[in-house]
Amino acid sequence: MLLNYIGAFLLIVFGLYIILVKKNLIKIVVGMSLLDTGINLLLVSVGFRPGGTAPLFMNDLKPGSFFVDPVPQALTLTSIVIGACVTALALSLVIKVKEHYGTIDADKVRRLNG
Amino acid sequence: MKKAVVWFTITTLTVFAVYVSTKMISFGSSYNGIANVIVNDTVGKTGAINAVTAIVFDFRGYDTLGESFVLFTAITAAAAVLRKPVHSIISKGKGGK
Amino acid sequence: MKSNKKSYKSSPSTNKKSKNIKVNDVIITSCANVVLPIAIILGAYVIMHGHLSPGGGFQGGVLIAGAVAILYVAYGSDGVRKLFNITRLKASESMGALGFIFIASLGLIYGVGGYRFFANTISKGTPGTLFSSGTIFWMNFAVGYKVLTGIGALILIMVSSLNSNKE
Repeated sequence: MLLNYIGAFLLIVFGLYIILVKKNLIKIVVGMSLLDTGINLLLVSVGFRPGGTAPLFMNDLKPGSFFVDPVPQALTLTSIVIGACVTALALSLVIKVKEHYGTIDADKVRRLNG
Repeated sequence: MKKAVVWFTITTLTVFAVYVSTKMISFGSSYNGIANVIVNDTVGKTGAINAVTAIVFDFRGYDTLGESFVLFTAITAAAAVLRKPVHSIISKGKGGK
Repeated sequence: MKSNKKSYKSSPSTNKKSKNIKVNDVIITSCANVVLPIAIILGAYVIMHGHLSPGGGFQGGVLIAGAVAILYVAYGSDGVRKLFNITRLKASESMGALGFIFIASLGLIYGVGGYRFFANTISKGTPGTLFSSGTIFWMNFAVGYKVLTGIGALILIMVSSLNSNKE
């Protein structure tokens, strides 16, 4: 269980590093998506109970078995969809920036061009 | 200067993350919370076998409503940004007599 | 007085002209002809059995919207534009959202055990069969249809804005 938490925090720190350092606009969008993935993994890993099974009421459950927590799994569904929507909107903004400025270097698209 | 700030931030965050993840094992999810109430009532109140679908559509339906709003807004905004402007013919004959 | 403001407008000037590739590969087309019915049937199965096995409205809707992307890769943007109409897809997404709200407000009309917004008022059958849980079964279809047409329209919008840049 320690591995899940360390992996989630590493993904968050990697995503933050890419947003801070890189100059290409598409790489910044990739970093935003990586940040979303790390947060979703952290959210699902909180609801783990040792020895539990998947939360489905099937016909052949052994007596004395219990479920893992199903509430964080339901909240993560919403978070995944919102992450995909933010990525789609950011990519369409990058398309318009390329049309208008001719370059996608984050250092050169600084001035407002009427 | 900027590189020093970035490296300091990343190192502090990594050390904090490793320390928190060793303390977080005992945090977990409690056995007396809301999950017990929901799992005990799923087959009786809704009749669905899948507990996660019953939570998403029945016990917490408002969150699904808000998420469909976000989906609709994102697609409409993307269609509004990527619009092709129509060149108007009116601006050619302006100001002449 | 000369203004020294550089213009950032992009000029479509590269040294080599980009040819419009109109010849489709035989391998990609025949593979897409095999994969496309499997993707559509799998997506419909995941949507319909949302209350019996892992899945539901959102997951199945995205699976069927992947069929639009496969069509674009195999047949080019002309084939996709002949098959789908962006205005009709956007109208269908609104129909899906209105259907979801209509099913949710059945609890206000037929209030069984109190008038609430998301009350489960359709009869619940025996758990384990297909028509079992009350409003969850119909809500899966509404949300799946909304996600399907919405993401299909999004892919078509982004693809059709790329092609008008090259010419």
